[in-house]
Amino acid sequence: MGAIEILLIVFSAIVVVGTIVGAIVKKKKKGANSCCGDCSSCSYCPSQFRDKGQK
Amino acid sequence: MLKIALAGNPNSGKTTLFNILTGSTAHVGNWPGVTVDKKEGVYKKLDEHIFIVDLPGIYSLSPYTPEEVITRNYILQEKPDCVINIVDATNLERNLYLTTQIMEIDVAMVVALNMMDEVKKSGAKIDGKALEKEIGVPVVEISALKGTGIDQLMKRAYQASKEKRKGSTVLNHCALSHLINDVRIALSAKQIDNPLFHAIKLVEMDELEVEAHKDLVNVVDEFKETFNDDVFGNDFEAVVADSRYKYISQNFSKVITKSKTTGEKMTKSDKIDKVLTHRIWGIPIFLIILFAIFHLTFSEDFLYLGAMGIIPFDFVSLQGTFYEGLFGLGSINSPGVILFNFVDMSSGGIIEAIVSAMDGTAKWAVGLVSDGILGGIFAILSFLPQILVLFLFFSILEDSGYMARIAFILDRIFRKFGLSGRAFMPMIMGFGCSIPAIINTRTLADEHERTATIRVIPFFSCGAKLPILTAIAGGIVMQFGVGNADVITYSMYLLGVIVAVLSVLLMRNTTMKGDVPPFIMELPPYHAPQFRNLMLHLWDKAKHFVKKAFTIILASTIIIWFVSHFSWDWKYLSDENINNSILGGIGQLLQPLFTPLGFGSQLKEFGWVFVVAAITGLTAKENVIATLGTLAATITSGFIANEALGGIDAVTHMISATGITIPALLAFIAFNMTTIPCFAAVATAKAELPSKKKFNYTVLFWLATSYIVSSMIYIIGTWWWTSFVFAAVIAVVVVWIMQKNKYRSCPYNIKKEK
Repeated sequence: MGAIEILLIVFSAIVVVGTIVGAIVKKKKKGANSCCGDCSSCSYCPSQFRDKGQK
Repeated sequence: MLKIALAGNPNSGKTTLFNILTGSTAHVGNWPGVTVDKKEGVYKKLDEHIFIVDLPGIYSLSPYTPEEVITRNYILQEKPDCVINIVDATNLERNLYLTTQIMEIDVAMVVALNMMDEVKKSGAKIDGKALEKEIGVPVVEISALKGTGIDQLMKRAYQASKEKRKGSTVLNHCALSHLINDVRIALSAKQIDNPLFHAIKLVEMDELEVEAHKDLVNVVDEFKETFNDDVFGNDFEAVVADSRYKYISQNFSKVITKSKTTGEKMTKSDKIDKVLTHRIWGIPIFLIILFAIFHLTFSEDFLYLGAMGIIPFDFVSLQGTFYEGLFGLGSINSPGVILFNFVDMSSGGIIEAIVSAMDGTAKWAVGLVSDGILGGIFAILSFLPQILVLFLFFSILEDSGYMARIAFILDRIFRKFGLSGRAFMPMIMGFGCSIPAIINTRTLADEHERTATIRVIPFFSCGAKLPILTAIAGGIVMQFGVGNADVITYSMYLLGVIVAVLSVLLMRNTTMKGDVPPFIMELPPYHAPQFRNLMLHLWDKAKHFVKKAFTIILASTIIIWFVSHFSWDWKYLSDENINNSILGGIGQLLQPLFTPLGFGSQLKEFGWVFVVAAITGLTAKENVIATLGTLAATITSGFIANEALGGIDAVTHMISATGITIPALLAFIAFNMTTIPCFAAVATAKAELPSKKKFNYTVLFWLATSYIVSSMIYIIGTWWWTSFVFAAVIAVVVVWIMQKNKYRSCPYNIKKEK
């Protein structure tokens, strides 16, 4: 197996594991009632609203 | 850090001001109710950094809507150092009603007279200094849209926040002033903050105050028994509201000098509305505008010049050149298609270069890069230009103020189906993304209406579903030479809306019964869309899409490639043996379930690819076409050569490989449009729905609806005569339900009838 093949497998593993772990970490950081966690693209954060118990 | 809150009426320009102050890119829309939650940012232009909070738009501090409660609680409990009350100067008297309420709280306050440019344009004048004298708090004239007066506003807000301010009221001469004073003294004795505000609210018998100060309710009740106003009886809330408006019109309106022609002349907005919101023509005009947008985005025959035989120049000379792909042959492509072709061709070059650079590496490595990684990513990325063109048009409609009119136009129809026009606002947002749309349903007070709306929001095709529509429509046109891509895409969008309306009709008359609340909305004036806002909307969309493509889509396509190239005993399989892979096994196992929908067991050997694509779409809808791209590239490379395919090419190859029919392809689109949305939207729906039981039913509802709608499309498309049977059944159900409920009355009508 050449260097490119090994690099490719490492890259694939990083992308897959990184995406899954990243999503889990983001979700945990945001708390149970969070939305997609993609705050950079979203201006409708629901967490504060829920904290006030207004649901 | 100092904390300044922005509060004001809906659509008064708070979020525009917030974006200018904080350099933020929060969504700004020219219709009321865009902000349902508070947003935070930092202003850095003064000696000290200031924390800015954008609060939802409200008309009063009464606890009738979630937005009012959020704003009220924030000012009372979080105690900002200053409140900037943004006032729409074109509608001064109504906006000052809220001002008189905020004034009663012990908080520093500055009034920002926004839209002063509009006031001047109309020929009217507002004396800001005189108003400042009357109100007793600083008043600054600004235009948030043009960015004028902002520095002055912040300087005065900064100064005001350094000083303590006691609440004051305009109700000193009202018939209830003695009672208010007595309650205020009682509250002060109990060391309660903001005693004046709480006293007035308690006198109004505000439910939150009654709950909080039960011991003082009898003081109000005793007074109530002896009080009787000529007009309002002993309805203290009405007496207080009337006193406020009287005070405003007597004392504040003298600062306004109206233009001599005001009142006689129709405004520009009124003239436009006479046409666009016409009782009969309003809806056809809306449908034509929507079709024009789809035509400009998706049509390969711009203005149908090719079909009409009007060819502006000799396209034959372009054959085989770079421009052939850009402009097509015998017709001109629409701007959206030109951009799509440009990206598609550029990506083809990039892929070729990468694959040729991998010369000498193992075949599986080339396959992983060209089919797995690039095949999936480019199948999706090539649609970005069309997504941006479509959302540019949607943003223009929204920013100009037309979207708000659509809600108004549709209220009449929606009401018959059990929803108010207010519910249409989150649905419109659903065309962008289901997540903010589902959150926006908080503005709906009725729980049943809210649940029904959340359930149908995913039927409004979001940006992520657009590649599915475009790729399949393009594939149908290319492979079968039938129809136009724009007509197919437009029809599928409308199908989503029709399914949503029929679903609501069914729910609101069975499990989700309830009265339709009256729909009151202030129509914002039309204005030319702001270039900055349009670009911010597009930037948000592009950033979100690209980010998703290089995270979740990339990871998914890599996984798809691996599971389609390894068998259950974890042995590598060549492209020709993909049917024996793990993915192939799962796909073939599930395939019979989709037979009634047309993309199940009746397809040839690679038919399971459509089933797998639909299932991967549950993580993110972009994955549907990314999966088709990866698998189509794998399947075709067995026969042609290693190449990554664009979305439309991928569908075209899959059509010829599987023998799928047009009705089945349309059913495939419908299934993906109406089935369970992406993970993120499902999680948001779970958080927003009132109970776990309702959430479970919602998931079931999505599954059942998609299955029924898709199989109906396939059956009707395959055996056309069945359309009469389905039409008759639907008509009978709709007529029966409408007859059963007749006209839905709003609560006010019920009161009148009683």
